[in-house]
Amino acid sequence: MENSRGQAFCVRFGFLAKIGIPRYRSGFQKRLMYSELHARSAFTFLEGASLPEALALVCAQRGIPAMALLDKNGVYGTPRFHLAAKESKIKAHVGAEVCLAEGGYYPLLVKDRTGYQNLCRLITTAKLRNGKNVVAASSRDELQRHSAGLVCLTGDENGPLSLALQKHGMEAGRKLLQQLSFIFGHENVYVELQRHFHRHQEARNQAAIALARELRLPVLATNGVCYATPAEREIADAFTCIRNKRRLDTAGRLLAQNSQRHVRSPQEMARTFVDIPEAIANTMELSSRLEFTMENLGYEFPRYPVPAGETMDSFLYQRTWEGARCRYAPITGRVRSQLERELALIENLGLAGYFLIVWDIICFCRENGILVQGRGSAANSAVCYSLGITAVDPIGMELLFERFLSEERGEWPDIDLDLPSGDQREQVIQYVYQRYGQRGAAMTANVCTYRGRSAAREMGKVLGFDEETLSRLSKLTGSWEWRDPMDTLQKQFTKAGLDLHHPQIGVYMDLCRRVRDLPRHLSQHSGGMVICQGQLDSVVPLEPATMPGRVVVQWDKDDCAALGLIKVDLLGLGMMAVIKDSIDLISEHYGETVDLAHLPQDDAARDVYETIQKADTVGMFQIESRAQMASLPRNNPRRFYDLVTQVALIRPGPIVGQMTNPYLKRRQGKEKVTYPHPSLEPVLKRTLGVPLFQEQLLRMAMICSNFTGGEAEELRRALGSRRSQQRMIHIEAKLRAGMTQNGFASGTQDDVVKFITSFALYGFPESHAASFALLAYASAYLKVRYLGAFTAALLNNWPMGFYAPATIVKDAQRHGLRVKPVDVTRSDWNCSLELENDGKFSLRMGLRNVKRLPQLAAGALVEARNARPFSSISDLALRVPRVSPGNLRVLAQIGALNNIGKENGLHRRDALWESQKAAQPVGPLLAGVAGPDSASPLLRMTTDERLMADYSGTGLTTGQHPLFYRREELRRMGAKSARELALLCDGDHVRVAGCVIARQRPGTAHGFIFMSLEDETGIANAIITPDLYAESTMTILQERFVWMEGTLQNKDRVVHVKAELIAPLHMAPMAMTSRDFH
Amino acid sequence: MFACLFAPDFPVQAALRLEPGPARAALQQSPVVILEGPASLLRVFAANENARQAGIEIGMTRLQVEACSRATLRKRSPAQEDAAQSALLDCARAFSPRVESTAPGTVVLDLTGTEKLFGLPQNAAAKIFLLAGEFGFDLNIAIAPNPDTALYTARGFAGVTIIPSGEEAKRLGPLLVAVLSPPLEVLEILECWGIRNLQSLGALPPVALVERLGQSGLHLQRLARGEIHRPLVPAAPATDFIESFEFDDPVETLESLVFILNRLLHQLCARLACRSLATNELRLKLELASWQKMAGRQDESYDRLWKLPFPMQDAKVLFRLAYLDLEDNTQSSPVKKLIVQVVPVKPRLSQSGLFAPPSPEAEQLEITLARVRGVTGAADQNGIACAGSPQVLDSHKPDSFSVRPFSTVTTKDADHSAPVPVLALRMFRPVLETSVETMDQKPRAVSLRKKRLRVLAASGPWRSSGHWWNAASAWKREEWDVALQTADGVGFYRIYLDRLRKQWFVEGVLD
Repeated sequence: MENSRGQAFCVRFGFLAKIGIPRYRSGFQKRLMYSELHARSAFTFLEGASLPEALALVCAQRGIPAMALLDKNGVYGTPRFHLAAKESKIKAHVGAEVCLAEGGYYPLLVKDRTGYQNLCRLITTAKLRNGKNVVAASSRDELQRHSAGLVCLTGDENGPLSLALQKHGMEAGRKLLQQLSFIFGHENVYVELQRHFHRHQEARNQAAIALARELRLPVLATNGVCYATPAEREIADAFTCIRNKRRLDTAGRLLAQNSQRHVRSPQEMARTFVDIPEAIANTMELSSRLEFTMENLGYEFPRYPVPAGETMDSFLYQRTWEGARCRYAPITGRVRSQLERELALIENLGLAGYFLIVWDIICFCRENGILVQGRGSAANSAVCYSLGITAVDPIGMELLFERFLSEERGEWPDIDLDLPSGDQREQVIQYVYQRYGQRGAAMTANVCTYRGRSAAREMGKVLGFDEETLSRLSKLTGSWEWRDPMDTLQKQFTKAGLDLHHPQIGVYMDLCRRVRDLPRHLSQHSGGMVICQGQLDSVVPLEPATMPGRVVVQWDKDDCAALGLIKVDLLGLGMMAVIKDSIDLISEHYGETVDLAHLPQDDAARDVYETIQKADTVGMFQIESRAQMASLPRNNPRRFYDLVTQVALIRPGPIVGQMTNPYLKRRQGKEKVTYPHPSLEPVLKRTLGVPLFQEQLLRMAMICSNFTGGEAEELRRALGSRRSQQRMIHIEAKLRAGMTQNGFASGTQDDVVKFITSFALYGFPESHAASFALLAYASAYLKVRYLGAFTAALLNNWPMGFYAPATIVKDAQRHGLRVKPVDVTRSDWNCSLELENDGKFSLRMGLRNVKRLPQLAAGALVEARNARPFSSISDLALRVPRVSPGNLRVLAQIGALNNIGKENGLHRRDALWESQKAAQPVGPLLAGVAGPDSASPLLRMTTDERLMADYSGTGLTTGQHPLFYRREELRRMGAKSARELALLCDGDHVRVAGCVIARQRPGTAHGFIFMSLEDETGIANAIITPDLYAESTMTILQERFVWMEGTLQNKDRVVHVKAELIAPLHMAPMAMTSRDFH
Repeated sequence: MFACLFAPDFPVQAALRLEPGPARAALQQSPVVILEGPASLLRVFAANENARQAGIEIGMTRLQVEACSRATLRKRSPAQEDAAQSALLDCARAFSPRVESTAPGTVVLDLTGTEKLFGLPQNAAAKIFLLAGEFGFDLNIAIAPNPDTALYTARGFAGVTIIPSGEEAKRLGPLLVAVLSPPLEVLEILECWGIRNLQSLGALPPVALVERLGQSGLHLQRLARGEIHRPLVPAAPATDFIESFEFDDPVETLESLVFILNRLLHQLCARLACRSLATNELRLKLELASWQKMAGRQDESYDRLWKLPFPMQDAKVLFRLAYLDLEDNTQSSPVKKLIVQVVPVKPRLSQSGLFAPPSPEAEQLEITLARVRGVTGAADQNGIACAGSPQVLDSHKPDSFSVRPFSTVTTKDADHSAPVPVLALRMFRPVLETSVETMDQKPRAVSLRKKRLRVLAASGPWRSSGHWWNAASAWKREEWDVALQTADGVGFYRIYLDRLRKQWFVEGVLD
């Protein structure tokens, strides 16, 4: 009686073990093997709480030989998981949870390549049909069509079996399993059992076991992993809140019931499933059946269509020699042998198609008048130069071809194309889509992760903080490049006024810290495109991007590279657009043609180099930053190669490796040129014994430590973005071993290792520096010779570069360019050039500079004006209704309406008075009638008022600099102007005042802040110590005009004020902006 | 003539109004800041002139205020402000029946016909000023021929200002345009035009102004010139019945507290009776002395709310309810402030139905429940009320519920999708503390009523945990359903291990 009651109880409650029953069946305990075949990473966005790497690591630590990553509707984390698993020596299975329209997530595991291709296509079909931001759902037909090579599990509480049992009971469950057996084959369906210690789950498990036994289907134990360790359940809960737009306090049973969805060891799993040992055993059996790995995806770069009778190699051969004849005239023996060597290697590696496809894009750009230039390591290739892909002659510059392509590396070459940002770049992207089809090409993805600001905001929401607090916190979570080790999260929270002792704030801080770097969502990369022979959707699932007509792959550029997917980066570069626009303006107004490929060089452009030597480089590409300006007078560039080194010099690698100062000293002749070892002289000779480029480091490794080309490439990768400490230690050991073998002294070894490891902080390859130097030189040339055109182009393509339009305009004015304000009777949307009576060109500010004036309204205004000049402001308002009353008021305020109608012109307040009347709606009787203007009773604007109006309406003034009006007063206070500073001696105590135009806290400057102050005579540069920053944070961060006192540093024509005191300078409240946090 | 009573920095004045005279005077001479917001982030809501001069700005956080000056900090109390507004209206009503509550801290009254009572406007102003002082206000008072001129004058000029008829435009002239509180867009337009004071605005040609700003522009101009005569909008009698008292020195004895409590309740009930109203909700709040804050328990207060089953106005009953509660809940720290609020409703007029089921006298029921609470306590150690109607909470925590007061209105409970248990579990309340012997992490024997019972079968563990973000309410438990060998046969029980306290409990018995 008792026993029968006890048995009934056991059945009812999913009884696990009776007391006295041995823990494991005999034999089972000996070999505890379990593979986790159902895990989600943080790439199941806002659900999984661990990165794939963390899952792999914990798997390895807990002795799990294999894991399957099944993220929802995607294989986003698979490449990272694959690489991490390889490192941790576990098996990484591939799969995904696929959502079906009828409900439920179907966990699908990939058996073989067919299965992988089917999975990718299944996901792509659903994603592209459903659009962005909609949960992609497949139909049952699609599932059936793509079922080959896949294994289906029955899932967890959101899986199909659970839903069927819940809705319609055992009969529905039975039917579902029969259907799955029909779709996937009886041997490819596993009834999944999970035990998270929930009562209700156990009831479901018992039903599933009964059905499995009835239908003779295997059962499979999984843990439905959502995070690596139990502690991460908190992150998962926070994600649940974000997903459901709830707070932790109100989320109730949406949150997890316990923390059991972590990676459990085989022992734990065996203990949990002690009553169903076959569920554990089957994991190993299934794991052994899943043969597919990400090693070979079957990706193939597209073949280029060539005329009949030609091969891709022969076609490339012809195009290269055609190009070489133009580029190298005459073709020397050295050129010939280099080209033949490169072409032979390209043929050998089967890469002709790749070069032809890039060449095809270049041809498209040329035909459509789009400026294009290759950058990166492609500039090391003479073939690329001959094909017109790059603009730098690698032979003339003695660049290392192996850096671009080598036989032993077995990696695709990397060609990045710089295009003018904006419409023209989009035109090229659409061309690629059109040529290779929607499923043949796609943009690479960009995984957006939680950063300081987003983490603070979202975790704050989860904990129920009010909007005001969140905004304040977001603002305070700085985005300086330099991270002060003392500027901890605690400090930021204290600054935001949060009480750190409050228990809730403690939890908040903890969540913010832990959620950092976890993926938030996927967006598209700015320019990387992946192209595939045949269907790209069989290699990686594709998704629609927010931008219409764009498709993205589920992997970011690093993942694509890691898996051997070849990409062409079509990058938008603002300076390319500036150069293109400048050339157009020069041709239109000056009647001259500028050929970028044949710009005057070296001595023929002495004026250009002199300007650069003076660091008079505002607006010039790459050499306009504070640090660049500070080194230009010392580097004193006199020819093109000096610019190449200049561009590479101010990078974190050379700075941290303490290569910058020795190089500059040697340039100035203040230090003797020496080499760490005589054998390195050929490599370092051009850079005066100091390594500045990546290629030099690779060659050093090859010479000093006998690295092979492949090993050198491994070194380069180790120095790349995903550098690992472990790998660096390994490489250092290898370097030292090689050097010891070659008899290098230990001091020399230290120097070489320091040079090499410091490049972990990023340095330029020489070819890349050369490409950038070319643009830097072009921009300098255009600025010096055609200031009006260059400034107009720069303003028309803003935002870009380092300085705000106000600074660019003031700089141009100081160089003698006349800049005229916006005038609706003359201005176009863009800034334009006007020929003055003295034969010089002046710059007319465009309507684009007027704040809140839409381009469509400006276009309508220009069109109406071109049809017939405006007779009055009322006439303008009447004929251009797109210009709103608010726009009209801003135009009047900045003086853009002063020249309408009246012969002698209006003053701004007259225009404001009239424009307000014109903007006032009238009844139907008077509609369309421009009434007479009455005399304005308003007073003229004062100088201060005009300045304020200029800055609030356009962000700049074409009149005098605000400091001009305060100069006398400032002089009385002992302040020097920016120009005067250069005349003072090093060590003088100085006072300066100015408008803050840039603040910078570089990552390599140990917390120092560089501030640029502008006055009417130029730009003064200041250095702020971390102590002063801590003392006057608010003044440094927020004030537009500052007063500064400190010691002058005037060495080698480089002038700085080392600030000792900084205070706000009270001026009229002008809406001036600075460019910060670069 | 119209008078305007304007209390500058009204929230500050509302906070200081009930301070004794000398203390208030001293505070007025020092920086005082009113803070608002959650305890984790208090921000400046208002500040007096001294505080502004010390560099304190609206929106600063408490830490920033503390960093820049030693200001007196008070937390904003909208209730206190409402009470202060009511007091300001009462003050005005002493001089005229026609009173307008123009804005918080601003009251306009019609003095027409009161000359015989109060004499010349100067005299009336002086009397108002004196009375307002007794109410605890430091006012700007303006008397002018029309309400708006009086209003803007009081806002713009400190002290008492009398504007005779015909001098409105001249006297208003120097005031900034912003004093008229025009729409932001109009203010921007006027700023663009360089029109900054009322004199410049008044000087603009009216027709041209209408052409540009419409009739609203003309209206603004007439306001600037003091030409608008409008009727007052009579202030509705106060609907908030709230009284509060802040002790000079925190009180520790119940006698002192209930003495004041009785006074406040009688006042409130008298006010209710005057207006033929009653109340169905009584709120009592005790703010406790600040030393507790040092122990990390911010905003310590004792708050009680009685939802009365029917409207009542008997001060004795209300007092009894509150008294019983206070008697049973001795405060651990002295009481700094006492706030009593009643919600006015119409009194109960219905007669008991002939066929309505008999029910206890409502007043008696409430008193009885209060006595029950006296025995059981208002709430248990988990903060759950001890008398009322239970409600299941949306939580994974087993047996989590709250207790709501009885209500005559039935509300439909939220849909709970948790599966209905197939077996009944008789819960032990409170749960029985027990000890459990385990083997291989499974229960082997359970001590129940001092007997060691062998576990015949066990199902589990069923694990749950939650509220990890709040250490005070975090929970983590491991449940087992066990079959125990008892003297009568087999008994089925639910036991659980509280993993945070590391203690076993018997939660209930299964049928």
